[in-house]
Amino acid sequence: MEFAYRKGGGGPAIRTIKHADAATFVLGDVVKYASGELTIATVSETGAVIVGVAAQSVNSNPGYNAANSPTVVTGKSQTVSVWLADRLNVFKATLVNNSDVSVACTQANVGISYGFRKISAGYWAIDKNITATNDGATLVAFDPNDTSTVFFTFNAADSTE
Amino acid sequence: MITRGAFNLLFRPGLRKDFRDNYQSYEPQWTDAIKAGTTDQVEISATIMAGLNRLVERGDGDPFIFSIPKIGPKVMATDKEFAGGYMIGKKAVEDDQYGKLKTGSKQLAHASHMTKEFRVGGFIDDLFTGTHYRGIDNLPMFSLAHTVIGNSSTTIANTLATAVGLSITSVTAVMDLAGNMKDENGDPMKMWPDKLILGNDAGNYNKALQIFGSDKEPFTANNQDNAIKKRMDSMKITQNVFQTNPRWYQFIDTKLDDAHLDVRRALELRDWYDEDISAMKVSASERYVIYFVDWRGRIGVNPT
Repeated sequence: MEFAYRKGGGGPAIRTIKHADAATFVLGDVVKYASGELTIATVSETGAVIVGVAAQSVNSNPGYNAANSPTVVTGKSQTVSVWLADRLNVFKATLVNNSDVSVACTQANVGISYGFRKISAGYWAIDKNITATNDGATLVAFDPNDTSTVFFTFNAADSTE
Repeated sequence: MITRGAFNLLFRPGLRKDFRDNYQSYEPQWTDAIKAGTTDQVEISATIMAGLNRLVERGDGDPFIFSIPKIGPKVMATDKEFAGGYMIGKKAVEDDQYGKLKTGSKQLAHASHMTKEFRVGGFIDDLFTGTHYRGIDNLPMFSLAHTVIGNSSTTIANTLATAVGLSITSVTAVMDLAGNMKDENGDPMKMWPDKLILGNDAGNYNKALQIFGSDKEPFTANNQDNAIKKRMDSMKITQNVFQTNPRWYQFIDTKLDDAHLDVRRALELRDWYDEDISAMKVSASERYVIYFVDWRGRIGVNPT
């Protein structure tokens, strides 16, 4: 799952936010707040809790994972950039149907709200089997050359943005 | 975006030309408090080594005793970017009778300077606590128990156990700390301050001028020679108005000092016109890193 384009043009809406000490999410994971700091979301979130999609993994800024185990790293920043789940950021993902296998999207699916399925770390898909509670995304388009690739926005009811 | 209405005082002539938007500034103070440099590295890495410091008495036919030097832990630092900008509508610029809305670049340059001053002020504020800045022994700049890599039982203080205000007594105590400075093997080394940084306290500044400037010992009627001036006759006294506590003071041996502000990207000012919204945009950005490695170049006191 990643940012695709912004409605009206221009770059994505991004915010740099501090992540929780114990956070382990990677680039492409959907993230939410926990006591004001980022942590990974679940596929069954309810309410307006989703902040967006992580544009980098935790502990990936300069100063992290340095060789020779430095005892002091001045200026190290426990933050990540997040593509925000607002109404104008459009994201790209694979469409599935209650399994990890990709399925074709049709025009009838466009404009419909679906939920998420986490295939693996950083790899989230849109699950057309989830249409009621936990449907956090609305499809806006799909790739006619690869119909399992879909474009979506996060629903306002499920987003903090 | 700055729109016309927010600055409608500028539509009509008649305002005096002096808008007081540019006061006289202090000379740069951060350059007295830290060493300025540049870097092209993403991460700055450093360590300290301690070589052999003793020869062993050797008898007839005895072999050489071979030892190895010691190397300290690794310390690192990484930079931060600081940026800001203006966005001004075209009509606001057209209707400004005084041309003040087009001075964004000058304001941003001032903002850059102020940001550096307050960041270095914040660095000074942190030297006793080490929340953000720590050195080779993972301690703040000023500590009562700095450790050395070549001798696990040696600790060294570069601050007073009881923090007192600037006085003949406190300067004499600082001289003792300087005289007791040790290298990374725990052996005596020369550290002798030649710079004093004070906070924004007129009383302290005046007192410093008397302590380091009077031929006779100040604050007494005994008419004794001022030994401090004789021993520290080239003390440069400076003031930093950006540190929070005006009473704190620190002595620096500028040859030994290892605190740095290294510029990764110098200040870039850009301006462009956004046709979509008919607005002039001005932006400024720069990157630099503030850090220290070796604490030996400074002795600090933090009276309340």
